Amino acid sequence: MISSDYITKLLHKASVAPISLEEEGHLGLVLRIEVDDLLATFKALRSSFEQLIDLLGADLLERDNSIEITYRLRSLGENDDLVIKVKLAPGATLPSVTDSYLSALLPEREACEMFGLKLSGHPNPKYLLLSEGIPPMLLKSVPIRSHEEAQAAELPSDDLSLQMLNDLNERGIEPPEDPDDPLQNYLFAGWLSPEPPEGPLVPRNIRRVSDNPEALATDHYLLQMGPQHPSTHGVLNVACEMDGETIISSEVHVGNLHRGIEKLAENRRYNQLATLVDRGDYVGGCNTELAVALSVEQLAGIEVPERASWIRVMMAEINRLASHYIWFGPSGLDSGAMGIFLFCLYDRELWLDVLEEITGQRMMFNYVRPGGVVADITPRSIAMIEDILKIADSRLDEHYEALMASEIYQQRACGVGVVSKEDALSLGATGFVARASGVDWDLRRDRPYAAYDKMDFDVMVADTGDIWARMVCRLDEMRQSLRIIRQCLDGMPKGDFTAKLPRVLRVPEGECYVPVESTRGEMGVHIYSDGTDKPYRMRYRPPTLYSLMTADLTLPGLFLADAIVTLGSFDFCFGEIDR
Amino acid sequence: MALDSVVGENSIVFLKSEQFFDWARGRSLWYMAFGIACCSLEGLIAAAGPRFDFDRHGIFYRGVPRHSDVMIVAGTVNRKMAVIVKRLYEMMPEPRYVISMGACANAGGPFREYPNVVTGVDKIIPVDIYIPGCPPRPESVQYGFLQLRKKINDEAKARLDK
Amino acid sequence: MNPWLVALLRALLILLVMLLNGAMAIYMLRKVLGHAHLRLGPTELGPAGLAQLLADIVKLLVKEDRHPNRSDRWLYIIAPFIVFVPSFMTFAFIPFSNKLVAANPDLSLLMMLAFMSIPPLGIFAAGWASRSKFATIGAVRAVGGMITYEIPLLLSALPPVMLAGSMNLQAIVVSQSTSIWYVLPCLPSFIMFLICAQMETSQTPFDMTEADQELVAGFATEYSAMRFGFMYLAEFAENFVMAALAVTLFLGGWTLPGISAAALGPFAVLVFVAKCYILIFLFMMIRGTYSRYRVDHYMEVGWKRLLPISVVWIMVFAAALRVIAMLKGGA
Repeated sequence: MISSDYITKLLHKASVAPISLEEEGHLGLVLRIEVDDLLATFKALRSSFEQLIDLLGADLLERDNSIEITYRLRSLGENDDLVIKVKLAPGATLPSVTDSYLSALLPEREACEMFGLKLSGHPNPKYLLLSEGIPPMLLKSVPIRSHEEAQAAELPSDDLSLQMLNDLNERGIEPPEDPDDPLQNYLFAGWLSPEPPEGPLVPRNIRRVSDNPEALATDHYLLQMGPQHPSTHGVLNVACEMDGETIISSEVHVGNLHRGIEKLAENRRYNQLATLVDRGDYVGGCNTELAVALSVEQLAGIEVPERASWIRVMMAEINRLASHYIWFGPSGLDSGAMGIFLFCLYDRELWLDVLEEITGQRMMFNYVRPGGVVADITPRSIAMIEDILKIADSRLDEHYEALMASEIYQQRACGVGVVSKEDALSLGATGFVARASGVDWDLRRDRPYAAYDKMDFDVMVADTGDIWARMVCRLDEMRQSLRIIRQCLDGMPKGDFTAKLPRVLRVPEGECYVPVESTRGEMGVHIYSDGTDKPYRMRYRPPTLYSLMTADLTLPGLFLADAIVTLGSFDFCFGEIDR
Repeated sequence: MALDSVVGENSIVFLKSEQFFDWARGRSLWYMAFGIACCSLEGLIAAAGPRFDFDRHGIFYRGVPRHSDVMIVAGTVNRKMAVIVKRLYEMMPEPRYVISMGACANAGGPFREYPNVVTGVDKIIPVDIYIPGCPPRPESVQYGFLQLRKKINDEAKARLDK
Repeated sequence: MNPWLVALLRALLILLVMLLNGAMAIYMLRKVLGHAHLRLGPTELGPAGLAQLLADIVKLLVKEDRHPNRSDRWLYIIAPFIVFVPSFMTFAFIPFSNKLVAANPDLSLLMMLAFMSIPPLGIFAAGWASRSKFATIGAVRAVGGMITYEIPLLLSALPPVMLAGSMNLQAIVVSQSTSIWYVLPCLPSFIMFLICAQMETSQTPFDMTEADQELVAGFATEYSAMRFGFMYLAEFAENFVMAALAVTLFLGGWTLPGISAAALGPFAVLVFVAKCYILIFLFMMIRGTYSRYRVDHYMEVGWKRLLPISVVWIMVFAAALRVIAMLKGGA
């Protein structure tokens, strides 16, 4: 534990006077400071806290006419968090903390555009998710559409890029493929900083491989990879500055799937939230549902029956397996191996059958809700799981043989896409990305939730940080999941599968953050409750947003072919990144 | 004049050959590997996978719009994506078909209230087949493809009947 | 008979063989890959899905032919033919049986390898003319790949020539029927030839030019309809030609050990085609299983492994032949 005295001492050394530093409800230790002290505070705390886990804004204009920005710092050694809160006037400028923690790169942009703030000191202060002409969406004063409005909604006629396309099409001309064409920069929606920075528009990565003077001098060109590309695994757009086949610098563009999960959550009841987050991380739904359920339970003080916790763990692990298969196969496909992709799909279908038997859906389970789970596990599903468990381990060996035992793949994976431990920490990478880089941290073991404290499993840590390490770590995770499922089947306690809850769940006023180890890393849900049946603000910490930044800074210097394999090895899920 | 009745636009030769071409078009539907969101797992990936194996029907994926006949709009289209969807549609060679898959592509789905989301992909591009569901099962997508085939074949047949 | 008519008939026959082979190979690819991947491949149309190909080809024929706006128009139009025609011409030199060979010049092996080296230029032209970045990368890779595999390919085809003492494919086959299949004395050459054949036909693990996951569809990214179909067909034609060449040089061509040419009669063609398809099957299984080399690893395989090994092997082989000849002459 990090004591408040220690932090006070650190702050005193940096001559920062905090507004307050005390335990606040579910949040733990909270440090409130003035905006002017922000950078000094972060500089002082940097050595004690390795990671900036998350950054979120909240619209408190009605309460005290301010926008509240919350930072969550984590010390892995002490296994403790510190929450830092600053209040800004509407439209004020937020100083960027990217000098201290690189993981603020994308979340800062998001927070600023969503709450109408300005951003200073950021290397790339562009809009992140929203397109042109959309107001800061998370402000309470910006309404969402009613059902009728949505039905009647046309595309805004001022949508320039679309209008231009229409004009061109009417004249029977294909859109020109020209680098100066505004369509090429369709993702550019404006600057967040008070004055636009100088230099080229794309790409603006903070890391850049310098040109090799010994090599042949060639012109650099811009390669837009995605959003429609077979191997970007979703709607990622990577603008790469290329020198031949080598990437000199790159910039990821996201926001192609932004659909307002956080905003819509403010208009859903607590037990409806699961439907939204399911569509966020659409591959590993049970884990994200679990995070929402746990946070609501923590705020409302609901006691969950023992059996429900065990079922949750089992379902989370089954879902983790299903999700890992859809990563393992395609990451083989990225390197050109077709076979492994379809073998993995075959195995995934087996687990989807189990999920369907229990939850009734192949995806979007809506199964883990506050209080417990929706339905009990059936005897048939147990028999199905038993059947699969008999073959699953040897199948994993086969998959290893089919992909990773090949020397060609080893050439492609070993020593490529290396994320150093410092980078992984500084960029907020969690889960397997961090573990592959030597960060020994697993929320299931270090901060057990549900029934994980009763499970016996190992956490694999590799230290090379390359693609190979990520593959190995996750392959081992799959084996551990099988072990956990086995233990769940053997030790499943008797009892209810859900607690008795009122139909409309009202949650007392408060604020909490509950992280779970989702399939892709730390998936946390931060809820502000105002005592009604709907959350006042729900923040969804997407683990892949942080691994996306990690990937972005890993790309420069790689071959195009390696970049594809590297991107695949981070396992992005765009529902989650864009929300 | 006489020639026109043999090979003209409404002649039996033209219509018969057109029917044959439609037979081929309906049985070789290559879809574009372009998944936007959740639905892509069911409609594109599972569809190519071992259990559902759309290849049996001659339905296969290609990575490029230029090679593909069908675009499955699998997921929520927002305003940033609308430009891309439109552009990809324009890139596909004729005859091209669009399958709108899932509630989001049909009408905005659970996200229709959010102003950034386009409520239905048919506001940008013409849609041939709508598949309901959130997400639709791969079987639904299969049925959608079979319906699309029926639609393609019916067009020439209707002209022949006339 | 009019010699022009004969030539025309022969050309038409070759075209027919090539198209049939392309169709069969694509069908086989889908079936083989399907079964290798726990699927079935096309089953619906015709017996075991055989008519699927007809549908695919007809559809490609009647699809709209698009030209990208900024493409180099003429080059864009002729590039598929630069790919297609040479691979079509190589079929002329394949000895399907002792009589069935469309053209039989003395240097047929050399002619064949010369024609085989033209398609990469077509691929380069296609990629360049498309004015698409992905296509251009694929095009540049095609040229880089060509200079990588051509020399080892030629060198690994030499030992059978040394043994047979002729550059004529038919003569090589005949001399194999009187001695043993050359795969036994020249096993290293055979293996190198197979690797180079994979590079030549740009199949996984060497499919640099197409590289679906990296370059979308490589040089063919901007091609649609039958122009794309031509390049697709040419790829399979090349596949067959390389298999045929391997069979001719190393596996006894249309002969079977212990059976005379007269006894085989018209079945010689079947023997030859069956041998070819066994090799193609091998190529396809490799294609469906392995990862792709990175482009610099590909160059490394070509320049640092295949080239030195083949040069050394040629020298060893030639020396051994000389020594054997001297011993024989001495005795």
